[in-house]
Amino acid sequence: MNNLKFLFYGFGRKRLVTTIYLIQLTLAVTIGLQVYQVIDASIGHSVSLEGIRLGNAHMVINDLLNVHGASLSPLIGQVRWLILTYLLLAAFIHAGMWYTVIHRNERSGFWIGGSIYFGRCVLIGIIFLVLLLILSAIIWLPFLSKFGYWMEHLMSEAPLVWGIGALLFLWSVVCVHLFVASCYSRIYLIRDKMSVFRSVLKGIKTSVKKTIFLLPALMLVLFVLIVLYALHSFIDDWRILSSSIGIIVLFIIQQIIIWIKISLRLSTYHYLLTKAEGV
Amino acid sequence: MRHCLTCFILLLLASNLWGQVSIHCAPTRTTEALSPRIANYKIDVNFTHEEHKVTGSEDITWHNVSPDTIYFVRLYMYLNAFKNSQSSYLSGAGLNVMGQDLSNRKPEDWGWVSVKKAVQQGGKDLTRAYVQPDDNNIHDESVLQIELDSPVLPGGILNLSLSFESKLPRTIARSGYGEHDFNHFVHWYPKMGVYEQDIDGNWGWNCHQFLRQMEFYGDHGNYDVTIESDQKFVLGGSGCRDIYKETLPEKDGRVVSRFIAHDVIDFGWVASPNLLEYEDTWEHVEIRLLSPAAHHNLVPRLLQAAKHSLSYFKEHLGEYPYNTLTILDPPLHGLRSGFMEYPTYITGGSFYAFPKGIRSMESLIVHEFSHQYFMQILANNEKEEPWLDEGFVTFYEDCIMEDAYGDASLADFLGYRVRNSAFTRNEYTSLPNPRVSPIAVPGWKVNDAYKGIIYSKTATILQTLKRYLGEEHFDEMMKEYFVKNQFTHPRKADFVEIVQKEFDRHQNVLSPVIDQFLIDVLDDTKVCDYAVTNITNSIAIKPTGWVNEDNKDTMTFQSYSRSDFFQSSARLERKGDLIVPLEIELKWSDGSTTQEVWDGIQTVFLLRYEKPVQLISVEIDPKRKLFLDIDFNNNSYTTEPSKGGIWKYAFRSIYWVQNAIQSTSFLM
Repeated sequence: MNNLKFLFYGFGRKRLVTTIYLIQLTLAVTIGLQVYQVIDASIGHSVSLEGIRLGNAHMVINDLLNVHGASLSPLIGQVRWLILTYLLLAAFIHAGMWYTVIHRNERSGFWIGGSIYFGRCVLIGIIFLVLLLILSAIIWLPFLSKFGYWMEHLMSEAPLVWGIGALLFLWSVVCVHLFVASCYSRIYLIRDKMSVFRSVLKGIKTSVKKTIFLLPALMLVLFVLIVLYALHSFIDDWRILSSSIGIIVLFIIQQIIIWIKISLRLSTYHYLLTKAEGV
Repeated sequence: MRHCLTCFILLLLASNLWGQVSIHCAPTRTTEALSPRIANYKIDVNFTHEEHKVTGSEDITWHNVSPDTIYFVRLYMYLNAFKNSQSSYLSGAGLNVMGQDLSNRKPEDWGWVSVKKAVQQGGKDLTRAYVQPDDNNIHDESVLQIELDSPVLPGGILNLSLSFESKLPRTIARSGYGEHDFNHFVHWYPKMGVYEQDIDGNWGWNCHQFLRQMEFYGDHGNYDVTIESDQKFVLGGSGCRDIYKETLPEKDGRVVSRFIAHDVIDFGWVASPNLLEYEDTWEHVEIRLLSPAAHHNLVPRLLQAAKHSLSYFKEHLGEYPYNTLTILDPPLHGLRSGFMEYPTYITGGSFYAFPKGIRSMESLIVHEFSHQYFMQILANNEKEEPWLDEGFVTFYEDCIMEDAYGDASLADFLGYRVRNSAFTRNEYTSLPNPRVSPIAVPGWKVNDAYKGIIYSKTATILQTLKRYLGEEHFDEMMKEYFVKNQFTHPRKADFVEIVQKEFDRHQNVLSPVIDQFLIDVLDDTKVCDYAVTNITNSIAIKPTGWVNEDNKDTMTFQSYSRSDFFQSSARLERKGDLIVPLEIELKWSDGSTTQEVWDGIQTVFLLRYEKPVQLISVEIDPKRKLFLDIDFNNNSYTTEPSKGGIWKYAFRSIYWVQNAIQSTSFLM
């Protein structure tokens, strides 16, 4: 059980987790409210709304998209920009989280860490995104370029399915490595005051060396995330949650899941830091 | 001498018996002819798989049922569409057809069919030439005209013997070969056109060239097909297997198979060494599924879909009259041969590890099987009136799938639920321009949105008719259409006549305008969209001023006062150009409901009431009978909307945006 304790570190840092949660919520609400407005303006007086409340949404949503799709499509564009903007903001947030974890300063560490290390963390983030892009291309492009040929020539599609599965696994391993490397880079940057490039290089080295030992804990985090996702899918289906109160309860559950995910991230950071002692 | 005489008589008898067709399998349920059997074929071919080629003979027995004397015949030579890029099928398409680049095709990748010799009743080789009745493209060789030595009189029989050779192309569309010795022989032999009366009553050959948006058309008849092949092949196709892979002692490794199909319009077959055979039965029908080993887990799903189709048709339209059904579930390298229908032989399309909750492969089997009724038994002209088969088949596909798998018939996966009929309707309503073409036009004249118009709009119209008539009367109508037209070539008029009769017999809101409705939806491009745009409720005012009491001369002054009544009104609009009478349901604040009927003619229609209760909601066509309406959401208006549904989606979008930003920033 002691090994599982690290998962709960984030739960004890309610103020910090809630601050980050509120930042994310504020951004997401800008989209959510627009979705509300567009649907309300389009079919706000229709009896069909009862259908989407009860989950029989396919025809209602199709007709909505066919007739009012032009009003909804700008929102998709907006989500794209929002994600890009958040990538920058995330550099600040994660720098703040790391600073708090490293210096055990929950009260003001988040804002101090974010402010001091924002620029350097953006740089680290970009380096790892570029690395992810390059490694993804190396993993997927040769397979995809041959895909059409294999479709025509292979005896069966089973090898393709297994091939995609294997590559997906490989890609996940790469993502985990990059994640661990990016975390250690920030530890070296903030704790050891290394330069960006030195911390990145050392982060990658540490990742190569240590990820295998960190894997059980990381898998556990991943497992919890999958359980949360499955739980949401399961609950989302419940007819009982289609009443007015039920919809609010569902929203609260969704928000608790988001909050837990943030606290899990903080827990993971703390766990990686404890394993970085002496590195 | 006596011995010699006996021998001679025995030989004569034997030769007579040889000439007769003796069949060991029963292709149809009854021994009687189901169809007029106009075009009959005895085909004997040698299949050389190394060259993807068959060579052999074809004896055609054709009955002249017209009042004309026939001096020439026309035959489909559809494999020639894949002979070169100049064929009408391939020309103008660039060299990228169905996602395939044809520019780097090797010599062996092209295919053709050619008649080496044509003889009428043992005479000389007949004069023949390719003709282009549709587009005058002199390079197109998809229709062959043979001049007859002796004309065929009305009621006469033509016996035509052909020597022919068919070379399969690397598959472009259905017919052809793929890797690992996969060979699919469809539209592979010289096939008679149809001599018939056109819509104006003139007799002539209906034998179109093979153009892109076009399928097939043929007369019913009997097929007796003998195929010599390498023993490694698994063979399957139309009809029953009279002889299957019987060894030829004189030819090492060669086997002979014979297929018999009665009362069908075509014959297709497959040869591949990599197919496994699965057999099942449904009542009198032997189902044979040919599937690659990798699809083993999918076999029960495919067979169940086929069996459910057989049951549904038996109950709702008519019994399947054949004793066999062969299903090809093509392997990956033969997938271009999938998704198609041939008499008593259909091809599907499935994929290894296909999720159980997504039932598109079952839906496909149901679709292609439904063609046994619409295209095969009711052999409409698929080229000139494709909606009579594709549209009807799509409709029955939806009915069968929903009957078999319930509300989420097409997909029930990760919380995403889709019903077949809703999916089909959306294929029509989501067209960028639903007015792009009428339905009742030849396939090649539908420029865009072939599927949305020919398949989906037709199915949506049939769904509308069914909802107005009710299932029982709709089935009654379709059974009458089926019985009256089976084993003939039904046309639009045949269907329209039956619909009109049924709507007359079972009166409903649509009955008075059914003739115009059918014209509007079949021959025109009118779109249906009715809406309720507003509801108002205000307190009624009692008469104010000098008022004559009870029509007497005495006037009394009445000052302003409110009554106990409400003045309610609803504004209804016709946004489309299709006019249909409509049922309207009104809900009142006391919980009561009332019904109205609107003729649907005016572009704006106001309903006004003065009642002690307020009008809460108005809904046009509350039972969704008018499935053709392109927007159901605006069919209703309520003063007490349930905003919960909107909040649900707003909250859901907040949740997913939060997830998206968390996930995408994992490296930042």
